[in-house]
Amino acid sequence: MPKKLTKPRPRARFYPYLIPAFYKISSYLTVLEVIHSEKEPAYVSPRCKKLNLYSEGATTLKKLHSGVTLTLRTRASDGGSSPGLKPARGAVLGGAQRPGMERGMGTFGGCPGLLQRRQDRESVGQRSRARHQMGLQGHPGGVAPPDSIWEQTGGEFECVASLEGHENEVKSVAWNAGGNLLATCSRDKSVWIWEAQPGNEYECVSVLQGHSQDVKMVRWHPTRDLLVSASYDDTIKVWAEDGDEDDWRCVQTLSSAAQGHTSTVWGVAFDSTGDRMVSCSDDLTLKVWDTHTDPTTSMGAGAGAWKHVSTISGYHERTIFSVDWSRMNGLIASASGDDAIRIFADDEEPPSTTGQPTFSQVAKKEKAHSTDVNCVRWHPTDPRLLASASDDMCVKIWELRGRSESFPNGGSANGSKDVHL
Amino acid sequence: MAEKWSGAVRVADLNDFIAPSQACVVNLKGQKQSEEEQQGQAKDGLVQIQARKIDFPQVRKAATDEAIKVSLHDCLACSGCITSAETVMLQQQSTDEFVQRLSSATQAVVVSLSPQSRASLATHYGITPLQAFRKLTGFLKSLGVRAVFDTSCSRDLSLLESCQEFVDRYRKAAGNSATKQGELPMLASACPGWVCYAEKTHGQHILPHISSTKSPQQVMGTLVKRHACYRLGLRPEDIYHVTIMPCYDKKLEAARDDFIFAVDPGGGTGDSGQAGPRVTEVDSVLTSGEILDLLESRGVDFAALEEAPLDLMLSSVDEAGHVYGVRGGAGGYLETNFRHAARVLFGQTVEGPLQMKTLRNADFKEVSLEVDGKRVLHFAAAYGFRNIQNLVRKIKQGKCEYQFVEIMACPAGCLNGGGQIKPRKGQTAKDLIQHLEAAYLHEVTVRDPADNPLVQELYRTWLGGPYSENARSLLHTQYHERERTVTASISNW
Repeated sequence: MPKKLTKPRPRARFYPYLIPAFYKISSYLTVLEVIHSEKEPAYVSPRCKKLNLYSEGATTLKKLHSGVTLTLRTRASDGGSSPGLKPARGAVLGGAQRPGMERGMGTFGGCPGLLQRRQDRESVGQRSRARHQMGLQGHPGGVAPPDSIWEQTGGEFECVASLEGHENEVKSVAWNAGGNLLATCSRDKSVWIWEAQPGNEYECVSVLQGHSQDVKMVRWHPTRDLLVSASYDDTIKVWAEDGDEDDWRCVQTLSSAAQGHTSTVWGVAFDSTGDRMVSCSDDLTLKVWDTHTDPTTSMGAGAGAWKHVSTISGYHERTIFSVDWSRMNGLIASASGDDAIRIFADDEEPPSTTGQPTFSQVAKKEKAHSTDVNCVRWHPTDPRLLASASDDMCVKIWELRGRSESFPNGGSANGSKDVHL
Repeated sequence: MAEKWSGAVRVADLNDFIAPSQACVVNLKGQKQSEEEQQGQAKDGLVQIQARKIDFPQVRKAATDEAIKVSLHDCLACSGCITSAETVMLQQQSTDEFVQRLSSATQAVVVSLSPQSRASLATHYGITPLQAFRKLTGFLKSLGVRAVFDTSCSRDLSLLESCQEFVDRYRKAAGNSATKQGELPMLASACPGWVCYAEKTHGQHILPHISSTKSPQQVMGTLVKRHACYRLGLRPEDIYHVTIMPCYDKKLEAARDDFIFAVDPGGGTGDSGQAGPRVTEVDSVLTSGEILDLLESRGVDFAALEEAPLDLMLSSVDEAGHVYGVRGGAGGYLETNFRHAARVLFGQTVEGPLQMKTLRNADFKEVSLEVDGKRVLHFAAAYGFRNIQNLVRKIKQGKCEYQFVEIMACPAGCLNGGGQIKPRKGQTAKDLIQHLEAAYLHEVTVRDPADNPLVQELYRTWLGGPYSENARSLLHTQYHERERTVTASISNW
């Protein structure tokens, strides 16, 4: 094979695209996660022990600019000293600058799903933080009664179903590609799979108890009914339906024995084909897994066994909390407790010694936020756009600007403004 | 160890970064325990746990070096974790403790064998259940056990009480609307994993629905300690009663406060009067697997053992060696209740096997009775945690259309209990279940519990009729909503 010309190293830079002022109203709330919800039929807000499902509204929370719709999930921040949660919730939601959202605000205000605490960082001072938050959590105001069913009227999100069953905080939710299955995971160490039934009814299909610790995240394969979960027990587990037993089972465990992570796995993401998966961890590494290499071993749902192909290390200096693999341009974005966001790309030219692919950092943004970056997500259709969420109470939307050839599908970022904080 | 518990019990175990020992009541209750000790109470069955030297605010420095004792009751009452209970339980209800008790001259050891464990041993050794029962009786008696019974007879009692309770609930629900709430559906109470989960998680939404009838194990405990002991010429406190069960969760059940009673020093067994010694109905539960371990640790060639004569006093076996029982590896609650309700409430006799309809999976089935084209009875069996979830969800939403549900925490029911002997090498779990189901009814004559002459006699001479006042006080129990304690809440942060 003729040697390809080495492409110039992409020189991408970040620009905070738009910092919506209304996200900064409250000093009590920290943004935990941003969800691009354009393609989702509904989205879900995890909360302690219970999930609330919101139907798609005529308008989502806020259109930031054409093409970007953000849904926010917030939590009481560690620094918030006010016991009044109600104004805090009102503040964020009331941030929508239309009087029409007033009622919607009430709806959301009634849903405790918006309060999500994160206590399980293995950090010093965790105890005192936890105790502080417990006081906040005890606030009874506006808590929806169990089993309350909410419906959408006009341009509001309303809760249409509540899924109870987890014994502790629900950490993550994910819809499968078909939209008929919903996976959830919790600090109670279990992963649950629910099946959507007609009439906003949900049935528990399986309760999976393979993890020995807190499960941080679940994510579905982009095309197959294959579920992965990441846990505090340092492993990633792959789940698939058992052909003849009509139940789900763990088909593979990616542990440190299989060149996996050596500390809490915080997140996983698939590439556009689903042949590769990237995971991020408290061990300061990102690991790339491939199912393509060995098609002979079927590990459920027609997919092969996952193999470790690459470890990306030496970049982030603290826990990597979130990772996302762009389905538009193949770039991997990671967010960390070191306040930075980094972007990695597959080296076209793997070193001949191993034949394994390698990944290099193509961009970084130090001090992307003033403190921990909790979550990063690529835009589903615009390859330039990336959203990040942080303990600093801000959501930032980033636009990647670099040489156009670096981002084949992205084009140049003309016309975008450089807006500062 | 945790793997052995049923899913329902395990899911309540929540601790990721605060280890169970740190969240355990031991730290908080040390004071209370030592007070109890001074009063000379609760000495029995206490296990020593060395409190760890940990820098945890609740721990008083002075106490950290002392051995603090905690009983299983403390663990159950706390609800913070079940993991702490495991250690306690392992020592308190273990084969070691069992062997030790056998050498004690003060107490007579009585063993009650469940039919599921009988099937497990029989399948493992490739013999018939009756042979297994006889050989095990011989083995246990050679160790010094006074009597070996099976729990089929107590199960018949439990079934009859449950049938009568259902009819009572059904009539109440059909009558005065003020008392309707919580009467139906009635949920079976024999599975301790399910009961434990319901108490800890669902409280007053679900508990009123759970049948008050004691499980076969606890009915056996009542029979042995409050009736049969006198026939053996013993006092309740002179008996150490061990059951052999397919299930670890049964150990939790045996340790419940509800199943401890005060012996009347006069010789009767009333709860009132002067306080006699407090006696536990079932002192220890051993699983089928633990019995296998005991046999193997002693190098016993079980299959070659001689078959000993059986103790017929409380066993559903007749002189000719016929074994009687009911269908259903999970105790037969659905089937017995269905037939009884059809007969008593609607005058219908259900012939042949029940026509069970499989729903979303093999562990969720339903059966109904139609009279004049109208469905009058609608019962279901829901096994395994995921099916429990869906059922509880329906009940809470008021959408449950069943009048009775046989709920079991283990998929495939009690034959697949966590305490059963594991599959042999190369054998799949599915294969084993099929073998167990076959063995369970092998050479067993299926008989209506009401036709059991032992049961008839017990009702006549001791209990009064089924669901009579006396039977209700002796063979029924109650459930308690378990609030999460402060310790448990803290551990959840």
